[in-house]
Order: sequence, then structure tokens, then C-alpha cells
Amino acid sequence: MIRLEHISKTFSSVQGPVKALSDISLQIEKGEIFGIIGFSGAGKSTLVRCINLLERPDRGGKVFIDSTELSALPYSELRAARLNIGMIFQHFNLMPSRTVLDNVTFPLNYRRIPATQQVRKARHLLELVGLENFEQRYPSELSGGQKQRVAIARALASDPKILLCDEATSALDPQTTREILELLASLNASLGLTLVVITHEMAVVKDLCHKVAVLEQGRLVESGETFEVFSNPQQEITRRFVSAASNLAKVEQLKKLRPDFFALKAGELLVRLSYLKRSVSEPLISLITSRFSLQFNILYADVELVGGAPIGGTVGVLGGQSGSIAEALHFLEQKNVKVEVL
Amino acid sequence: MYELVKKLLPHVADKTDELIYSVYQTLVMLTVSGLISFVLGLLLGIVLVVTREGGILPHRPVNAALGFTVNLFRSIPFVILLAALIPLSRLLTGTAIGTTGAMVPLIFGTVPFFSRQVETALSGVDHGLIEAAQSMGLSAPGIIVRVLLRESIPQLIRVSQITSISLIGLTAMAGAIGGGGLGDFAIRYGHQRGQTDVTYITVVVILLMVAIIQHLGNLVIKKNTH
Ligand SMILES: Nc1ncnc2c1ncn2[C@@H]1O[C@H](COP(=O)(O)OP(=O)(O)OP(=O)(O)O)[C@@H](O)[C@H]1O
Ligand SMILES: [Mg+2]
Repeated sequence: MIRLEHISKTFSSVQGPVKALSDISLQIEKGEIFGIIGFSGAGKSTLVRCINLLERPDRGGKVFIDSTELSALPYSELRAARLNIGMIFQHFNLMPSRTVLDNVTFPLNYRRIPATQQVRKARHLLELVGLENFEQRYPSELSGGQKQRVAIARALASDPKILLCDEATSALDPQTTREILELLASLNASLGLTLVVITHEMAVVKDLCHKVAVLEQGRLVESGETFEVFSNPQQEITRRFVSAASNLAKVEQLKKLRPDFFALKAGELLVRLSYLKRSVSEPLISLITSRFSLQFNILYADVELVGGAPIGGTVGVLGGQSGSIAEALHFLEQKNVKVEVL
Repeated sequence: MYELVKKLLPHVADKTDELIYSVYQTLVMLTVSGLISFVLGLLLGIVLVVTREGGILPHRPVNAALGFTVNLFRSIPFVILLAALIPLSRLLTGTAIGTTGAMVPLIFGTVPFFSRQVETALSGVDHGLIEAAQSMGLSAPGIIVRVLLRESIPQLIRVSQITSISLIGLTAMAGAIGGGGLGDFAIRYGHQRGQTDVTYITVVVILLMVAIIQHLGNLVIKKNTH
């Protein structure tokens, strides 16, 4: 378990103090995959760096791992505690003078582990990230995605209980991203590894994260179960993130670019129905068209898994008597369907 | 062969023993003061880097005091240092003349220069690498050895080359106050007695030393650059 209490961070710069984080408190349970999203400069990296105290929070901020207050430990004990917290950096930070293999054994070198065992472990991890043929290469001879995978292997070498990932898949192609996410998810499932994942890819959040927190200008503006946040975003910024990831949101864009595409007849409404509940199995559309004698012309529909539960909806043109349309929309809202008339 | 040498270098031919002895003296000064300066300069350079603000063991007073001392010694011209350090030299080595007497001023003339060069070399190490090591729980000495020094080997060799070449220059100057070596040899014969061939031969020998230093250094750099 990771608990942050009242974390603020002020950097001093030439133009004066920069408040990168303001009073952030949150708790991440053991075995959880916790996503952090926010625009560039929102403070995501700074927040995650506060967890292993690479960045010292301002006075009053406390970092707890399980029941230990990390922020109160003397340096020697903090070092020991850091052995349980692996970190994948946004800029990889591999040692340029060492081979891939030596980079992966690096965190093991100064512990009393026999060299052959270190190498065996590193080889196993390199195989896991698909780099078994690259052990003798140097970081400068690798592509961005390969470097990132070495960084992942290195972070896992010391068997951490917590893994902090700062944009761990941002340099990877979709195929490799999928493989790495599956790897992280399987480590989470098999070893109970707690993952803190910074990302700007909503796909990562949707597929991987159990919970998600949204940062805006150093503030924690929204957090909760991924499904809740995605199905019912409370803040404007969250809505923007969620809609950027949702196909249903593309209708607005389409409408702006090709207004003629939606030539509505008198009395017709362009509506977006999104499901707020974890169940999308009820045949609501056929129900409303028959009960209220309406026509619903589906333009498109979308369903995807978010945090393991289906989320989705339908965009279409609703036609019929205006009174019945209003009744139908009211009925849908009662059935926990979010109705937007566009 | 001897005839040819005698014809081309009339004054050198009859003092080959002395020439060889001078080369030996220069090499002694170079290696002994060079090694001591290397160790001291490396240590001070490390201290300068780790104690500064944002370093891994920030300590403002130590950093400021050391920085000031280094600058002070760097701004004293070497000939003045030679004279000014005579008492200290006597105290430490028992003599102020000869190759032994030259050691103390040579070290004082080299260490400040070299420590600044080491500081620059170590500052070139990406801060992200240090953070990565910190996040893996490395101790400060661990980071110094396994990251700072290790990752700047090519740069450290380069500054060692520069420093040892400038140290050759200093050993020649130390010869002027009776330090012996090639400088002394060239001044006594080449300059004071007008035997120019002696001057030229010392230039050639010194060029050779510089070339060897450059070549060996470049080999090591090449092996350590990836
Ligand atoms: N060492 C520092 N000194 C001064 N300001 C800093 C420092 N580190 C970060 N900042 C500032 O703090 C804010 C948050 O930075 P941070 O790196 O946490 O953002 P981020 O959310 O990770 O962004 P990105 O998505 O671009 O990586 C930014 O405004 C940044 O300029
Ligand atoms: Mg960042």
C-alpha cells in the first residue's frame, strides 16, 4: 500500500517558485494498477518521483509505504526501502557504458548474489521483454522501444513489490505496447505487483488500470475506479481525456467537419446514448422504439472494455412524435443511460 | 651510424649518457608527480562535484572553500609557485632542489588544474543516470564509483592526457631551478652554451612523449566509448 498525505512540491526557478504539486493525498492499495493521467506539465512525473522520494515533497507532505513513513526514514533506511520500489523512467536512463545484460544486472551487483545467478536472472527478464538476442549490445545501439524494454527488465531485476512506470510504453509501437501491457498485467496478477502507471495513452488506462487519477496543474481533480471515471467523468478535463479515447465522441468532430452528413428532418434528433452501468445487455433500443413508436436510425455503436467492464453506447437519429421522444429520453435516463442531444 | 650522429648532432653525441639520464629524470618527475596529482585531483574533483548544490552530497561550505582554494592556486604562475613552495618542499621532502625538490611544486601546480578538469568531466554525466542509481538504492560511494566515474571514463582519460602534457611543460620549467630533467638539459647546453642541436633533440624527445601519451589515451578512450 502506498499512501500520500498532503503532498505539495514547489520548485525554485529563476522566475520564482513553481508550484508543481498542490496538496495531493491519495492511497494506492497493494496489488492495484493505478493510472495517473494529465496534460504535459501537470505534475505526473513529479508526483511519482515523490513516492520513492527522488523528489522531496514540501514540508508537511508524508509518504507511507505500508505502515512505514518513508519520508521520515534516515537515508540509509530509505535506500533499503527503495530496493522494493522499481522505477521505469520517462527517459530510460540506461547506463551507456554498460551492455544490455550489465544494465539489467546493475541493481543486483552490489547485493550478495552470485554472479551466475545475476546473469541467469537477467537473461530470464530479457527473454520476458523479447530482447534475448541483444545482451551484448550497448544502449546506443538500441531503438527507443528496445531501450524502454531494457529499462523494464532492469526495474524488475530486484523483484520489487511496487513498480513506478513513467510513460513506460510511450516509445513503443501498438503491438509492443500491447505485449508490454500484457506483461505488466500478468506480473500484477501473478506476483501481486503494485503498479503506478503514468500515461497519456487512454488505451493504457482503459486496458490496464484498476483505478485512475487525473492531475491538472498540480492538483488531483478526479480519481476513482477506471470504469466510474470513464463512464461518468465529473471534471471538464476528464471529459476531454475520456472523449479523446471514445469513438462515440467522434460524432461532434464529424458534425463539425461534415454538417451535411447529418441531414436531420424536422422533428428528428441526433442523440448519443452512453451506458453508465456495468450492464449493457438490456435491449433498450428495441424497447423504446416499440413502446414509444419511434424510429431510431443507428449511425454507429461502440462497446469496449474499461477496467474489465463493458462501456459504450450508440449514436443515432431519433424520429417520431416530439412528446413520445421526450418520454423515451426520460425513460432511458431512468434506466441509467446518459442521453445527449447533439 | 655513430659517425652520422656525430656529424648531425655534434654536441649531443658526446653526452648521450647525460641525455638518457635527463629523460629518466623527466620520466620520474612525470610519473611520480603525475600519479600523486591524478589521485589528489580526482578526489578533489569528486568532492567539487558531489558537494555542490544539486549534487549527491550537497555541502555548501566545503564546496565554496575548496573551490576558492583551487582557484587561488590556479591563478599563481608556476615559476612563482616554484619559488614560493621552497620551504614547504623542504619540510615535506627534505630538499628543495633536484627531481625530489621539484615534486611538491609540480603537484601544487597540477592538482588544481586537474581537479577542475575532473569536475567538468564528471558534470557531463547525465543526472538521470544518478537518479536511476538512487532509485535502485545505491549508496553515495556506490554512485560515485559505479556511475559518476564509470560513465565518464573517456572524458577522464581525455583530461588526463591534457593534464599530463601540460605537466611535461611544468617539469621542464622545474628544471630551471635545478630540478634536472630535459628542461634543465636544454637550458644548460642548448641555451647557455648555444648548442642548438641539444635543444632540438630535447624537443624531439618531448614530442615523442606527448605522442605516446596521446596514442595510449586514445586507445583506452576507444575501448571505453560505446
Ligand atoms: N527540477 C525542476 N525545477 C523546476 N521546475 C520543475 C522541475 N521539475 C519539474 N518542474 C516543473 O513542474 C511541473 C510539473 O512537471 P512534471 O515533469 O511533473 O510534469 P509531467 O506531468 O510529468 O509532464 P510530461 O507529461 O510532459 O512528462 C512543470 O511545470 C515543470 O516545468
Ligand atoms: Mg513526465
